[in-house]
Amino acid sequence: MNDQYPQLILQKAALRGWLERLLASYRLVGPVADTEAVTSYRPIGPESMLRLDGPRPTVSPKPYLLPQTETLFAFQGSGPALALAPVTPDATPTVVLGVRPCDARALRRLDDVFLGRSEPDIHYEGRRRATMVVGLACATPSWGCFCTSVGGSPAGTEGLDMLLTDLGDRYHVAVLTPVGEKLAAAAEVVEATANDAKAVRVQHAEAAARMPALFDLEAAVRNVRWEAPLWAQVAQRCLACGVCSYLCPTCHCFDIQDETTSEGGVRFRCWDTCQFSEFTQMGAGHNPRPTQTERARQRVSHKFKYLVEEFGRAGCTGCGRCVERCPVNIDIRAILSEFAGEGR
Amino acid sequence: MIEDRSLYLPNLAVIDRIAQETWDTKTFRAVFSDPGLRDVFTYHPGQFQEVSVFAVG
Repeated sequence: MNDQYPQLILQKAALRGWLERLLASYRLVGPVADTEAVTSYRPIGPESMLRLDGPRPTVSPKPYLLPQTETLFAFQGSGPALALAPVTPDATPTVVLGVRPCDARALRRLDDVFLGRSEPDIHYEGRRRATMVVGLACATPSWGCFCTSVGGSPAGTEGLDMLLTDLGDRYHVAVLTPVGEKLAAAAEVVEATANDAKAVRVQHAEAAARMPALFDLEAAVRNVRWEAPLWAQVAQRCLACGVCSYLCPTCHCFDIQDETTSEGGVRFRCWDTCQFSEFTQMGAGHNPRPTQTERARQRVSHKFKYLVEEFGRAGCTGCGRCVERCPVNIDIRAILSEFAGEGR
Repeated sequence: MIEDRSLYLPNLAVIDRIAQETWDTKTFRAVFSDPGLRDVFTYHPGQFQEVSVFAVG
């Protein structure tokens, strides 16, 4: 925990007042129950049913940084008279509340991809620069969670401006950045006591203890390899439904298409996944990843080999959504454990 | 390059000539619509380009 910034207490009774004051300046986005079983991040008002308890939401806040579909530019006319109309990237100042540490780390991984290369993606950049992230420590990790196996923690602070820890009738507020300091200034808070700090430490330690690391990440990264027989075994079960990628907070691949009217049209991007056969299908018919075996290899290798080689960090933060939602129980933890255990 | 230009915004060009080289291969000659770009555009041998025809692919 960073001692440079204050440790505060926000009574739950004062949460609504804080949100109302934030709403005067920012768009607020937080976890909301869509159904009894599905929770996702949605724009909220002070009256909305913000759901800050329970395990991490079904859907991560990724769609606020990388929308499922997004117009990149418009075009009008045709032939030599065709003209382009750029789109101004959305930069509405937005506070995302209740972000779990795994999802906050995942935003940093998206930053690597969209901002960390030679040319930044200005569409992502506009939203990212306008996004403030208020985290919530995970007191009750879900059964598929494995953040501690990939270098994270249920109370990790990477990518957060502020971390809340639920202490029953109040939140402990760890301010982590100048942005977090500004957000905290809108809240009715008091300084945390030594007892509060102790309760926070105990809760963080208990949550982490429920999730001992399942494999040695460095060994797994070292052993993930092109010709492993495991890819074919995974592929035999895979239905290629893509739910692993669509719920993944770090998966970021997209397709680009044109949508036209008689006067012109728009070029847009939409989420896509390496798990689909058409993802690598080329215009002339060749497909360099002809079977699900190559696609199974791609998803794991991209996260645990190629991104590690490019940015020094794995493209997985252990949120466990792919583990819990896979209809045929493909478990990336088991795949990584198998690689990590090789050569022992 | 304009600083805040979207990297997805293409440079427009008009196909000027199509040559049928063999039964399954054509060469397309495209001319940039922006005369300024015509003068400064350079490329390396074998350089990969992403080319699209609006609404076609």
